[in-house]
Amino acid sequence: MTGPKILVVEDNESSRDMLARRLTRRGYQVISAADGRRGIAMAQEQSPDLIIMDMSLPEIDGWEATRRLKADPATRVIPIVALTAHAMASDRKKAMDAGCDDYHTKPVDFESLVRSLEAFLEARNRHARTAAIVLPGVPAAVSSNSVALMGDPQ
Amino acid sequence: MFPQFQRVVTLSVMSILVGLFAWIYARDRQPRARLWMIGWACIVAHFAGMLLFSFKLIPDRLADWSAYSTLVLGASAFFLSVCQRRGTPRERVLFWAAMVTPAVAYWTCMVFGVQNPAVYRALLAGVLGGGVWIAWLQPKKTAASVAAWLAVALAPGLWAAWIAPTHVEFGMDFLLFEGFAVTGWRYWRYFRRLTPGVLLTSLSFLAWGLVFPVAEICGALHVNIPGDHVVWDLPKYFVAFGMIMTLFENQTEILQVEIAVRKRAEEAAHNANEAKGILMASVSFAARRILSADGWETVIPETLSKIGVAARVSRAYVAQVQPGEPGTAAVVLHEWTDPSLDREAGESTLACAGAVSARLSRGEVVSFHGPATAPRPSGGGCPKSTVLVPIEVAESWFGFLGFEDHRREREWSDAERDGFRSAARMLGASMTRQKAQEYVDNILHSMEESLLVTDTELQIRRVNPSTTRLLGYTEEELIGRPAGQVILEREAPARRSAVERTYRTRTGRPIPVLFSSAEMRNGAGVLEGYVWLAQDMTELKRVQGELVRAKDAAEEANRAKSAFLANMSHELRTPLNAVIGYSEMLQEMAQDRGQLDLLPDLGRIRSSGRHLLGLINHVLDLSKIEAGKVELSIESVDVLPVIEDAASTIRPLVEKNGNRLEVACVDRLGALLGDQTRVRQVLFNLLSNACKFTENGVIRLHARRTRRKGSDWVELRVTDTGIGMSAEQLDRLYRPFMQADSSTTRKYGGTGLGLAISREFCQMMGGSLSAESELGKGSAFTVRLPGDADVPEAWGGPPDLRGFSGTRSSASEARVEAIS
Repeated sequence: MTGPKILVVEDNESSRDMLARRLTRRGYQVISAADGRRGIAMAQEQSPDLIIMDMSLPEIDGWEATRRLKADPATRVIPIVALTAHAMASDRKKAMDAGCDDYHTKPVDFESLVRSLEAFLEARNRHARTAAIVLPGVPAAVSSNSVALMGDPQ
Repeated sequence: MFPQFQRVVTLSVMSILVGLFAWIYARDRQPRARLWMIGWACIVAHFAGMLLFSFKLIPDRLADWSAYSTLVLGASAFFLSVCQRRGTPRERVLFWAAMVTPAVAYWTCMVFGVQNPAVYRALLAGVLGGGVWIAWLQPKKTAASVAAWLAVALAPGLWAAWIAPTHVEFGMDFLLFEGFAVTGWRYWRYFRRLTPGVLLTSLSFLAWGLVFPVAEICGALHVNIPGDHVVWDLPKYFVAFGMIMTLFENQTEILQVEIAVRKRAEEAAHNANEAKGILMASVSFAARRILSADGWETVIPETLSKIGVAARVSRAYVAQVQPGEPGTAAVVLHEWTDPSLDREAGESTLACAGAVSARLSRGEVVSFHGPATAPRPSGGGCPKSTVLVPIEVAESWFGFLGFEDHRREREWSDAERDGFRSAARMLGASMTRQKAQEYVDNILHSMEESLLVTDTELQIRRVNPSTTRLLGYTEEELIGRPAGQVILEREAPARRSAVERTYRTRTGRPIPVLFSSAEMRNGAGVLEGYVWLAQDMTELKRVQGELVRAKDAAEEANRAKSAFLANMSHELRTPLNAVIGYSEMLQEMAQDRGQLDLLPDLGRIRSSGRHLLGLINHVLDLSKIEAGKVELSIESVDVLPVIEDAASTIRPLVEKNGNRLEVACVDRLGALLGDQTRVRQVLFNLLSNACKFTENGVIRLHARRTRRKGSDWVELRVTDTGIGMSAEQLDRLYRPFMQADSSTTRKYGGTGLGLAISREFCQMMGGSLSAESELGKGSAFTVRLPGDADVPEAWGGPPDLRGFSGTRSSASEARVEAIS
C-alpha cells in the first residue's frame, strides 16, 4: 500500500464501497468514513493526501466538515474534492464556497474523477519536492484547470 | 269832404276784405272762405257801381240795377256759406234757380219799368215757392222753426205780393230783408256759439236786412236821411268786422277741437297700450312659468289660458304637425277655450291647408278670417278670425300656436302678433331645452358608470342612476351634499383619470372604483365644477384577488415542484451512482478476468444508468428554464473551435451507425454572442439526434454568416439523410417528452427533451432554432445566433453561399472536414 492515501467520506454504503474498491483497483490507498464527524477525525489522525467528501452526511454535513478541515492548519493543505448528488448549479458554488477544491456530481464519471485526483496529487508532490510554501486556500491554477476539464455534466 | 271820398274808403276796405278771404281760401281751400270772398266781391261791385255813377260814368238805370243786384248776389253767397253742408247739388240749383234768379229778375223789371203787377207777383211767388221747397227739403223740421219761418218769411212775402201793384219797391225791400236777415239767422245757427264775432255778425246781417224796410219807413215818415249816409253802410262794416272776428274765433276753436281730438286719440292709444300691456304681461308671465318649469307641458294649460284671456280670444291651442308630409295634419296637444264657447277641450287632429302649413314652416305668422282654411277640430262652432304662429324646436318646425276668435272678425294688432310670437318663441325654446335635456338625461341614464357632478365647492349637483344604484342613496339625498360624503379621499380632484379611489355607500361599505375627475368649465372657460366618473371595481378586484391567489398558489406549486425535482434528482443520483459505478467496475473486472461474455450485459446496465442520468439532467434543465432560473453568461464565442470540439466529441456516435460526418464552413466565421457551454450543448444535441436517426448516411454540419433584418447572424445547420419526420411530427417537435412517436423511444432511445431545451437556449441567447424535414429523406436543423459584429474585420461584402453551394467543388474557399 504505497499509493496516495485517499479519505472517502460517504454515508451511503454502496457508494462508499464502490468508490473505495475502484480507487483501490487503481492503486490508491483508501480509508473511509461514514459521517462528517468521523471524517474530520480521520483526516486529522491519518493526514490523507486527498479527501473525497460527500455533502449530505449525518452528524456533521460535508460543507461544515470541509469548513472545519480548511480552518485547521493541520488539515487545510489536504485537497478536498466534493462528490455529491446535489447537482444544481448553485450546489457547485455552495461546495466551492465551503472550501472544496473541486466538485463532482453523482453518478460519478470515474475517469474524470481520477484525472482530477491525479492533478491534485501531482501538484502536491511537486510542492513537496520543491519544498514550496503551501499557501492557505485553493491551488488556483490546478483548480481552474480541473474545472475547465470537467465541462458539461453530460 | 266830398261824398265820393266815403265811397272810395268803403271800396278800399271792402277790397281788402276780398283780398283777405281770397288769401284764406288760397291757404285753407275752405269753401266758406271762397263764398265769403265772392260775397264781398259783390259788395265791392255794389260800391264800385255807385262810385262810377257819382262820377256819372255809367247811366242811371245800370247804376240802379247793379246797386241792388250785387246786394242780392252777395246776400246769396253769404247765405250759402253758412248753410249746413252747403246743401246738396239739387238744393243749390233750386236755390239759384228758384230764389236768386227771380229776385234779380224782380229788380231788373223794376229798373226797366215793367208795369204789369202780375209779373212781380209771379216772381215773388216763385221766390216764396223755392223757399218753401227748400225749407221742406231740410231734414230737421220743428214746429217752432216752421212757425218762425211762416212769420218772418212767408207772411211778409205774401203781403208784399199783395201790394205789389201799388208799391213794387216793397217787394224788393222784402227780398233784400229776407236775404240778409235769413243769412244772419243762418249765421247764428251755423256757428251756434255765443261769441262776440258770431253775435255781431248775425245781428249785423239782421241790421243790414232791416236797412231797406227802415229806409222805406223813414221815407214814409218824411224823416230825411240821405241815401249815401253812413248809417246805411254801418251794418256792412259790422258784418265785415264780425266775420273777421268769427274767423279768429274759429281759429281758436279749431285749436281747441284739435286738442280735444288729440286727447281722444291719446286716450284711445292709451287704451290700446293697456291692452298690449296686459297681453305682454301675460306673455311674460307665461315666459317665466315656461322657463322655470321642468317641462313645458306642466305649465302650458295655465299659460294658454292667461294669453287667451289677455288677447280676448275664444280659443288658444298648441298643435304639433305630424311628421311626414307637411301640410296634412296637426295634433292639438293642449288647448284652452273660453268658458263661453261651448266646446269640450280634448286632443284632436287638425287638417291643415297646404298653403297655410307651407307659410308656417317658413316661420311666418298666418292669419285669416272665416273657417275655410282654418285647421279646426270638429265641433265647437267656427272661428271668425284665426291667427297661427309657428313654433320652432331645435331649428325645425315643430307646430304652431293657434288663437281663434269665435265672436267677431278682427284684425290682429302688431302688439298681439308680437305677443303671440314671443309666446311661441318661448315655448319653442323651452321645448328645445327640454329636448336637449332629455338627450343628456338619456345619456346619463344609459351610462353604466357612476357620474357625479359637483360645483366648485364640491357640493353634489347632479348624479345619474348608476350612482344612486352604486351608493344606495336616493338622488334627493345626494344633491346639495358635499361630495366628500361618498368618497373616502378628501382631496379636491383636479384632472385625474383612471386612479383608484374608494366610494362609500350609504351603509358605509367601501367600494373600490376606477375614478376619473375632469374640470367642468363653461363657454367662457370659468370653472363651474367637477365631473366625477367612477366604475365599480368590486368584481374586478375580486377577480384580481383570485388571480393573485392563483398566481401565489402557482408559484408555491412551482416552488414545490422545484424542490421536488431537486430532491428527486438527489435521491435518484445516489443509487444511480452505485449502478453506474458497480457496472463500470464489473466491466473492468470481467475484462481483467477474461470473462468477456459478461461485458455486453454489463454494458447494458451501464448505458441504462447513463440514459437515466441524461434524463435527470434534461428534466432539471427544463425545469430550470421554465422557472426562469437559467442564467446565461453571454460572451463573444469563437465559432470554429466550438464546431471542432463538437465534431470530435460526436465522432464515436457517428461511427456507431456507419455514418459519415461532413463539416463545411466558410473561412471567416468569426465569433457569435452566446453562452459557450450552451452553444456546445445545442450543437451536440443536434448532431447526436442526427446520428441517432440516421444509418449508413451522411450527416452534414454547415456554418456560415448571414445578414437578416439588418443584423449579423451565425448560422449552424445540421442535416442528415435519416428517417425524417412527417408534418405532424414536426408540429410537436419541441414539446417536452414528445419524440416523433412513442415507438421511436423504444427504438432510438433519447429523452425527448433535447430539442425543447435546445430551442429554449437558442431563444434565450437571442437566436432561433428551426427544423425542416421530409419523412424518409432526412431532416435539417438550423441554429441562428447573433454574430459578434466586432470580430470579423476581414468580413466584407454581402453574405453568400460560398460555404454551402459547393462543399466539394469550392474546396479552396471552404474548409471541408469530412469524418467518415
